[in-house]
Amino acid sequence: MSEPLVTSDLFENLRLELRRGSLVLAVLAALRSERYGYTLRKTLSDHGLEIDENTLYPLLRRLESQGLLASVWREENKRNKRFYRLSAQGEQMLAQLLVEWETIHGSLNEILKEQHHGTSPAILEGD
Amino acid sequence: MELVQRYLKAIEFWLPAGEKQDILAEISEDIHSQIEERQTALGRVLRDTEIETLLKLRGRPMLVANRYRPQRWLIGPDWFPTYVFVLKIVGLCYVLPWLVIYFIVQRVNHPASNWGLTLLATWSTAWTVAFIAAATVTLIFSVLQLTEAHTHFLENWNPRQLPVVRDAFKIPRINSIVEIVVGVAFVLWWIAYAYAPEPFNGPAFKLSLNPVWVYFFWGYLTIGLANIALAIFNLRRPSWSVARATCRTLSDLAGGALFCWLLKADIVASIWVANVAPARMMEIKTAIQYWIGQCFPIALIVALIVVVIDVFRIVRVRQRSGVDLANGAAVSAR
Repeated sequence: MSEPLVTSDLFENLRLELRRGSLVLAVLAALRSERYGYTLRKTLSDHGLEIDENTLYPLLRRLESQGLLASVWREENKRNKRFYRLSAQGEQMLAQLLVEWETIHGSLNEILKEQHHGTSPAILEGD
Repeated sequence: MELVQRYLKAIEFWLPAGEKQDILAEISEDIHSQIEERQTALGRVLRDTEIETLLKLRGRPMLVANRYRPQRWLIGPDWFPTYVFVLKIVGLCYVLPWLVIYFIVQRVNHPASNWGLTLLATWSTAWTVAFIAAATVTLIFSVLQLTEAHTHFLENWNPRQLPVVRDAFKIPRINSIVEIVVGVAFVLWWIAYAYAPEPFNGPAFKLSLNPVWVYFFWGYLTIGLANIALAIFNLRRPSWSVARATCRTLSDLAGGALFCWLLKADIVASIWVANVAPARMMEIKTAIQYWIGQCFPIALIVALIVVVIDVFRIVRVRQRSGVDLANGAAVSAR
């Protein structure tokens, strides 16, 4: 039996690195509708993007200080909650970032297609 | 819920001053939302142990609070590898020699004390020296990091200012020429003046050497001639080969061993200076022998360093020869 090509720790590190930038994009996209922290976390999690609270809340504060989000404290279900939504500047930034993301996605697909044509079927099947 | 209050209080201590209440309110809300959701799912109030597990998963209060502070570092990832490299260099080229010299000086000043005490004194000094050296390097790099953050001076560079690539195995011709000239001058002087057992025999000063001197005379003459021959070969083929690197190592090894023996050989038979009493001359001779003997450890260390450098050269030349052979085999196989 052959050894796995990558260790789980290495995969986890690379996965986190890959997701880090995407999470900002996901948060901005999710906040096109107003949400408070907990529901935002649930929304992201429901869509397969788990983010722990110690990452999410500092990120929200940073994005707000950069003018990309606006927040307001409001009472809901007898508890004070901080609701976030995308600011006008955030809308513009999201649009720009989505273009960038599409470009990266397209480029990667092109590279993978080229590799696919130049690689033997046995390698692609993982033999 | 008391656990939650304690948890929030612990986080509060580490939060940035101006935002404490705002951040705490948000964290508190998130915890309560999570508890509420779990309680709804279970259909009962959460037990303390369950709340404890939940809080533990959130992380240590200090670490949670630190996430709300801007990331800062004394020496950042750009500088850190260089910092570690400089620390190693300082350790090897400053701290270690310092300790060796300190040890030798201790031995010379207190020859009667036992070796354990000398080692202990050196060991206790080592901490102070290493700490001051490491602190100085750290301070310098912290200042560099701070300056770089403000001025970005690392971005201001020019590829033309990079050092020229040199062949580490090439022997500069000027080195070989200097070795030949100095070697010939030494050999001529050595034959002319060092053969006699009384190298100085004037009306005011006489120095006579013990018969053992003859070994040193022939030894150094042989080494001198061998070095001239090697320099001539190097001049014709100015790149180290394993054979020539080995010859240089043997020559340095022989020279070093001979010199160390010279320091221990009680070489001075007698000294005579006009108008100085024989008893006084005997004292001077004894003092000279003593201090020559004291130089022995230093000579030994220097000789060892030279030989280690020579051996390292042989290893590198052998490695390169191996790579060249492998490349040659690969080319001919094509």
